[in-house]
Amino acid sequence: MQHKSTCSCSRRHFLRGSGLTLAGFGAASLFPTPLIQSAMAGNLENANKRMLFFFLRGGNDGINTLIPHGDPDYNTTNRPNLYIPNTSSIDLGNSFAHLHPAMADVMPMFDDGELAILHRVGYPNTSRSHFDGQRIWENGDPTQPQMFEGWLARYIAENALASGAPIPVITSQVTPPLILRGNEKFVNIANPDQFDYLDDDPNRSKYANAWRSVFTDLVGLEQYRPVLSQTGVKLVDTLDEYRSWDQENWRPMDPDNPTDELFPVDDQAIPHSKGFAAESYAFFRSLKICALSLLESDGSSNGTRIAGSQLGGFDLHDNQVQNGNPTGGRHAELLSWLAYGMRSLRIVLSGAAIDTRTYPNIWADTIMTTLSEFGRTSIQNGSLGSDHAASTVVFVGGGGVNGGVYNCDAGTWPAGIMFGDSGRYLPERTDYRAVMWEILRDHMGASPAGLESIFPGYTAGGLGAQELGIV
Amino acid sequence: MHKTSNYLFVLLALSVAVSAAAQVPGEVTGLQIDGSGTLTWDVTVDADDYNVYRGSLAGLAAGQPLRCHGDEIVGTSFLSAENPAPGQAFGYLVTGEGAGGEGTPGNSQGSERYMGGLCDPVMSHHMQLRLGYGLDEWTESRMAALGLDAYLAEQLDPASIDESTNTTLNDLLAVLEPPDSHVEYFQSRIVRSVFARRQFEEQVTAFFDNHFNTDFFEVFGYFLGIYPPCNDQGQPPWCDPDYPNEAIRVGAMQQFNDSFAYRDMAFNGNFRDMVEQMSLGPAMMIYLDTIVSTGGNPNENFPRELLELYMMGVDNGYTQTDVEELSRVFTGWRVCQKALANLDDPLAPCQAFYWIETGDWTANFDPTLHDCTAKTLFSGTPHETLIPDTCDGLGQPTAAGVDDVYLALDAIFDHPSTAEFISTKLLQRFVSENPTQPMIDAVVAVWNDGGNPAGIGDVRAVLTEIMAQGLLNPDLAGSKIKTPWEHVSSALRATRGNTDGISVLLDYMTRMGHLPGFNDVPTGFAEDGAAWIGTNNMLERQNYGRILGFYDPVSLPEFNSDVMGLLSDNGISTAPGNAEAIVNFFIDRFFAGSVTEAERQLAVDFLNTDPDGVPSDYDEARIREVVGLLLGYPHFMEQ
Repeated sequence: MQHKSTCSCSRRHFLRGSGLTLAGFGAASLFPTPLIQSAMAGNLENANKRMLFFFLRGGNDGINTLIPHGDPDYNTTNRPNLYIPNTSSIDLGNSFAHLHPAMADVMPMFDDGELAILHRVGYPNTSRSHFDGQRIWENGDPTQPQMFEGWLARYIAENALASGAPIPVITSQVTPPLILRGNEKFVNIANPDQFDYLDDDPNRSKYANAWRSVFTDLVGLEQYRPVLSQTGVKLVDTLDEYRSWDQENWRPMDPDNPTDELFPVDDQAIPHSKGFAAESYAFFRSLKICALSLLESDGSSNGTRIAGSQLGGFDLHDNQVQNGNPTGGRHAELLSWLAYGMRSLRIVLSGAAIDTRTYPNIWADTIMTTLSEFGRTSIQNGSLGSDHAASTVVFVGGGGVNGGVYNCDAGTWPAGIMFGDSGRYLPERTDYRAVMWEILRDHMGASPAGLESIFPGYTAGGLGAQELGIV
Repeated sequence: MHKTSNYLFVLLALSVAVSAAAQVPGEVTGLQIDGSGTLTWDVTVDADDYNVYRGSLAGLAAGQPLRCHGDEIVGTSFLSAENPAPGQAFGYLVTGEGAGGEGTPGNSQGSERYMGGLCDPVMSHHMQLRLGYGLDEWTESRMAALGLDAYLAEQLDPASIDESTNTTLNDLLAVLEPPDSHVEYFQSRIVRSVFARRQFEEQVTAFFDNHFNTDFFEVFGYFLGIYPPCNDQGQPPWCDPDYPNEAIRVGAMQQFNDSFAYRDMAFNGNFRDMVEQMSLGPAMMIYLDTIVSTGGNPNENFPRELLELYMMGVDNGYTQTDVEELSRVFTGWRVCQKALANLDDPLAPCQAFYWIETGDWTANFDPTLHDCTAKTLFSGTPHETLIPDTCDGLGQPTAAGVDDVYLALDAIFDHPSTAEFISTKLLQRFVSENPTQPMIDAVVAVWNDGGNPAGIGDVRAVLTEIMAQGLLNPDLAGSKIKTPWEHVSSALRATRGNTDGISVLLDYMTRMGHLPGFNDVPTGFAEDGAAWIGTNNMLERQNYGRILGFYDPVSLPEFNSDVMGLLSDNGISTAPGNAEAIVNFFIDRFFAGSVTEAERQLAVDFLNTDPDGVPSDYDEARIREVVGLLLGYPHFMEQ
């Protein structure tokens, strides 16, 4: 399968080997050496800017995350079991929106104006399919649900973000996300504790040197040779850099509760006061790698600029809440992990953690965002859950973010809007691409000239008018 | 710079018997090329046919050996139609081949030219990797005995291959099939890929399993509700005293039954049979929600994927209206248990419970849940098909609605998009990720030939055409990337490995993200190599090779390689001072010799030095380490 390429290489004369036989072999210097990857100049202006992303897979119920309490349709008729009363949720101060109580950990960030909570984010004619929906949020083009190339990968290619850095981009999840899929291959760490060769030094170095040599010099007509070469060399470089981070021995603690780890990744002798389930550890382990990758960047263009992971389990067709307890159950649990994780990231990236290491404060240079393929039906279903719907909630946090509630106030939330799409769904007010493009352009310094290749149809679709000014 | 070599390629590696009387052909002379890319050369004494080699000049300058480009060409001319990339140029070389073996490539600057990867071993290697999961010792000897053409013909007729003496496989399958759990089912698929002599049958079965992907956990979740735990209220057989083992077993059995059927139909049936097996199999009916689709409230999940993923290809000749019409067709279908004699009758009565000996899960058509009004597929096109109203005089559904599904499958099967899409995907899997239109057209022509034994869509006839295209073209060798499954299995086969289908290997396949039967995405696993190359995937492949080389049959009987036994039985001394021969043995075995001189020397040096790089005699552990090194070469990731 040939994927869409970002290269629009010009046609040139084909130099055919006419008349060449073995006699020509001595003339090697007349021919170019194999081209592996041409690096362009880096974008130094925004070289310190960093970005984190977390995909909430399965479709997060935005209506129960950022609760539109000002809308009379949010009630016990439409959501007999899911309904969270005013008194149980967190008032966000605009006389309309409340936050799910399991997310209390993000309130300091919100109160300091560093967290934007955006309702009704999506795209036109939302796919109800998880795989199409996730692909669309990751490929950046709702008209091409079958395109397997990520918008973030296109941004990176357009802006030469990857030049010169050992690990410019990192993800930590089971398999690499589509959002970063493109011609260039980026590092994904499925198992942070096992991301190395099996041997210890000196044999490890013996292997690494041998493989580095083989992959560096790899040539041939086989079509995957260039990408194998690039990936193999990158792997050896990456392992060296990653090993230097010594992530296993980095355990930053919560300044407000010094016996709590900010990233609880295993069963410690002192239990975490939050009592997170063991199945949360993989998520926190991934967040820890993402945070560390940014902190280990040396503040030049030579460090990690983009890191990401995911949290699964939001496809809550049943048992979204406990029977008789709308603030308990699976959804609350997932949101509590997310909230604590965002809080932990803010603390460590601000240099505020209890930490034996000294890392700089890079919070002002960092923006983190969530994504999720769709929200869920405004009316609950018959099994304490909700089904696939349209728009959902996005969290954008960071030192330079214009915090606050967006698209969930009396002025932007018309009566009946919870059923404004097909009589069943909450329609989008802001295209996800408008949110992401703001982050790329105004934070990461993306060249406006690259907009249409990153998000095809952005201008024609008038998405600029939907931008919210969150950065 | 141009690299000269005094390394003499070992002709014995070709498995060609060199008779005393036969002469090795001399160097081919008079090689010329014209503007259209036609090579010509002089007739060479003692040559029956010729091999054409090609390389890019840049690659050759970097030490890359010539690649086989034309295999066993009869006559003294060959058309090399492809143009080199801009700024590049090709160089060519021709050798003669006769009863005495392959002739010399000639000298350059006083030394015989370096030739890594001669046509004969490269073509054998290519066939082994594309037909199956790479070479093992049975395959190697069988191919040597039959020759490539007859070996291919035999693989295309799996029933002709005797598995009765394959005790390794038979002993494992006696325990694993039919499976008692999803774990056993996984194991059975792995050990089949590693040990089966019917290698192509396993590859084809894996293709259709993946094409019609279902997720065990979805299926299992449904049966969990059917087989609840026994408690004070529950009594067997209505509950499971070993909860949730019965739900696990039944879930795995549904996937296994489909797989078993595809294995048969791929060589004795047509694609229409396969689609019906899949569509009305409990696994798919549960996985994509057919079992909740009801007249008045049809579910579009399966019908959309039937058109998009399983038959026609996305946006390839159908519309949203067709999805909706097809959704009404698939209303009223449920799963239940029926007596064994009734498994193929959707109208036969369901029974509440059967022991496995007397009944099984199957599809059931419930007319009361069916939309009996007429449906039209492909409306307004030459393929428009009316599926008639089956309501009675009062507008109520009747049992006649059961035929809707069969009529709809016929209509989609007859649509030309289906032949085109499936032919293309098969070509991508077995031949080239970028099949040309003439290649697709040739396969579609075979598909549409009603004279084949299984009629239109005869899968074996289609596969025969596909392999004829793919296996005879040396340019396609190495053009695809092994999936993780192919990678782990081919490494075991090449090292005389042993596996129980799960130890160590499951861990690595999990890390590489390739667990057949547990993929929750209907698209199945990717066929394109780009999806499988990343730093993480590459690290796990390299670590897997290292650990496979590390374990021997004594240290871990369930997962190991027999490196020392393999060397010993092939007459390669493991005493100190034989590093070249040891490395050459594995380079021939793993890569058909297709490496540069530098890549070969690197492994020799690895074997001849201690961990600090100081020259020292190797021991068994280091021989095993160099096997791990070579299994981590990029060449081993290609197929």
